[in-house]
Amino acid sequence: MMTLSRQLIPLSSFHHVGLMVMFMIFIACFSAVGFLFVKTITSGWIADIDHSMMIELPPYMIDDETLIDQATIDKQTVKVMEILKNDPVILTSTMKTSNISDLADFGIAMPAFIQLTLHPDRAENNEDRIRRNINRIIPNAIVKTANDWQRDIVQTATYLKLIFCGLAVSIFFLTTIMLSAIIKAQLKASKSIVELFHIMGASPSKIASLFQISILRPIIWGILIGLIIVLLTLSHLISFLDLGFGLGLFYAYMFGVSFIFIALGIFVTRWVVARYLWAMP
Amino acid sequence: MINMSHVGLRYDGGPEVLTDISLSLKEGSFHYLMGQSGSGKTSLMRLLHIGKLPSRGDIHFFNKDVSKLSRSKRALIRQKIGVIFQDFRLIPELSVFDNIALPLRLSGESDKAIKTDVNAMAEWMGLKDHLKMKPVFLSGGQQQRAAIARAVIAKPQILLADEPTGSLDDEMGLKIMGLFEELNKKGTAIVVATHNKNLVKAFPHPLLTLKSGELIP
Repeated sequence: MMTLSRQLIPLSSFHHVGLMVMFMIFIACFSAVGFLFVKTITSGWIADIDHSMMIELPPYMIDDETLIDQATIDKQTVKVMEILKNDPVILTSTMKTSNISDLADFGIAMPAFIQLTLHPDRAENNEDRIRRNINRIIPNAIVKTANDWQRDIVQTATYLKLIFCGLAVSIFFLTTIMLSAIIKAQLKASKSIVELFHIMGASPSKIASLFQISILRPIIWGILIGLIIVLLTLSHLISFLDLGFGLGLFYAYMFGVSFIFIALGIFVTRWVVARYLWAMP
Repeated sequence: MINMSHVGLRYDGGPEVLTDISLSLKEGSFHYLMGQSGSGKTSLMRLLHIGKLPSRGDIHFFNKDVSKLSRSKRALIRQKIGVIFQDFRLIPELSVFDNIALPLRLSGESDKAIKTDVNAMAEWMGLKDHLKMKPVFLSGGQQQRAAIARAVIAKPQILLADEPTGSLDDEMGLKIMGLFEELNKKGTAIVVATHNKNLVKAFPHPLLTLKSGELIP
């Protein structure tokens, strides 16, 4: 079969397939790193803000011209801390002062932030109650629960993950189109030999398998070299940045991507050759 | 082996190039196919090696209607047919050895058997010293011998030859016809398309004569 395959298609004909696969493997792995990075960072953030609340006491206009002063905001902060102090649901409460001290020096009031950590088992039922208590005393206070934060993060992360998934799918789609075009061109270039093989009794599946052997060689080389480049760059990057997901997962993905490229090589070749030979009896 | 009944052939909806052809090729039969250029000899040869399916009528190979067979089963039938083309159709990138070995490789013979068979055939054809050469370095006669060797090496049950002695000298022409006679005696059905009336006289066999796409009695 190997000899026949070499005789049907000169070995050099599919060399550029190897280069293409090498490049595609790198992009596919890059998109996977992006996907996993977003996924891991998102779950880290969600875990960090779980069962937490953020109270913002913003500066606001007393009338149409006068902005509330910093002293009033500080008083409101103390008042809120008083309310929270005895609430059994709250595990910790931390005041976060603004870092824009230069603006404060000019007499411009800065918002105050209070971060709360709620008791994990009782958080959900008590969030609304805490919000109501604070807004009753300071109507302008903005109270954000973990759900509010999480919704924004999850939405952004979903968009990013979709972009990376789309990139990976586009790569496989693009590879299919390019492989199909290369095989068609090769079939046209080998037209007289393919016809001769056909007349001599090679079945369409036999001719397809000869093409498959020829195309799988450069695909496997492309995968190997592509994976080596990925290992030297992306996996090093994963370890270096300590992205938080195991390399094992990434290696499994690399294996899966390689398998998909081999499967594409097999199925696209069979399909294109079968279509080409359809015109022959 | 082959039965054609009221067969017609047209290319891409054009006019019929073969009309109402009925013939029967039995085991051990030997026919010459004659006719002027454009009479339909090549088209009939195409039908005989299943390079085309008829536009109408039936063709049975080994009692099987070829139009109703799957592609892989048609391929199996083609493996039993040896074809010698007028333009040789040797693959220029391959050596003479590899060209002759092609049918054996397609039928899955072992490398050892291929080497033995090809060497023996090349010796008989006077190509032993040219096996490693590419066809382009051979003379017309040597290329024709290589093409004949390729067609007969797998011992086909049907042999179709289009002007098989056209590029050969008289001595080699007689030798090739002797080979065909020998294969024929062993049961191979042979169809030789030729214009060479001397050949027909020297080795007399029934004639199939085509005129404007029709077989004339």
